[in-house]
Amino acid sequence: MQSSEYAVLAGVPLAYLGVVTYAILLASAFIPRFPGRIIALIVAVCGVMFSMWLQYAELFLIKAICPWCVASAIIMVISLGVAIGRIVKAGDLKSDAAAAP
Amino acid sequence: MSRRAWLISGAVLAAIIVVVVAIVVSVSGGDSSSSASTPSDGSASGAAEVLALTKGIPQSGFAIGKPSAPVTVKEFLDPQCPVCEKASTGAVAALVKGPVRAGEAKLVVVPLKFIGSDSVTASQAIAAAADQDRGFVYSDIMFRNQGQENSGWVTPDLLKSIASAIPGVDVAAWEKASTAQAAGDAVFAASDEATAAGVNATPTFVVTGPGGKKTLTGAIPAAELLSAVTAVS
Repeated sequence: MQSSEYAVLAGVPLAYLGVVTYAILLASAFIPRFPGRIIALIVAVCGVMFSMWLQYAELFLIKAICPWCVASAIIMVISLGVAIGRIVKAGDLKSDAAAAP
Repeated sequence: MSRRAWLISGAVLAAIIVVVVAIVVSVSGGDSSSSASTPSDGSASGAAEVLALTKGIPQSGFAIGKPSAPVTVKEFLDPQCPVCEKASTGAVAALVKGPVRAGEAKLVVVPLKFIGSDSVTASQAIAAAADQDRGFVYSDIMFRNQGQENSGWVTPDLLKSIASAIPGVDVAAWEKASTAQAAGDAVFAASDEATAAGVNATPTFVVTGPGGKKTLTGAIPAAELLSAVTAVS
């Protein structure tokens, strides 16, 4: 139901929002050091939360399943796992002296 | 905690807040205009406008317009769909005022139930009104009273007040029909028709005439619908 009112957020079609989100996520993989890691984490957190909302809307409000949205939600959860992995591996959560650049 | 750990926590928290606010705004934003028009006293609003718009135009079942009109416009709608509500006062009103009144086109509404349980009840009420040849007027008045999706806005009181607002409707017979099996069957038949026509969004207008067929979907301007009617005439 990509034409339902849920297909648009603040006047922006969700499909465009998704393209931009994945573009930033991809770009963040090439940004070195801490800025790249935190950008990936922020985008993945937003993506996962938004995907969860969409899944809720699909199941309980629109009552129609959109396979692309489910696939996107799964990819977003994996991205969040990777982003957290990067942060933990780099030691960003440890004291400043021990952290990687 | 390190400076980076603070930065990460702050950023994640800010991201969560932004997403929650975005969702809340997107959900409540679209409803503000429609919920404002929902009557609190249980009476149907906008009935006078719809009756003035349709006065003197022949009606039959779910259709409005001269039965012999060369062009048929089928509108697949969901009583809960906000874009359909906008179309009701926009493109649909222009269609009725113009080609339908002039006898050049007839409009047939096909009420669907894809948004949720309120759509089922509302569409059955439209089907029951169609039994008395007032399907279009009923659905059009319902749009003027549309509430938030699946919030339970389709109350028996609202449905009855719409039926009562239409002159010539036998409210008791309508009430009985709205909960009868036939109304449920009509709504299922409408869904099947939509599936067969490849309709997966509302509103979808299928304009058919001697000059061919045109399908328009979504928030279309009145001019686009009117030119589609001219194109297939």
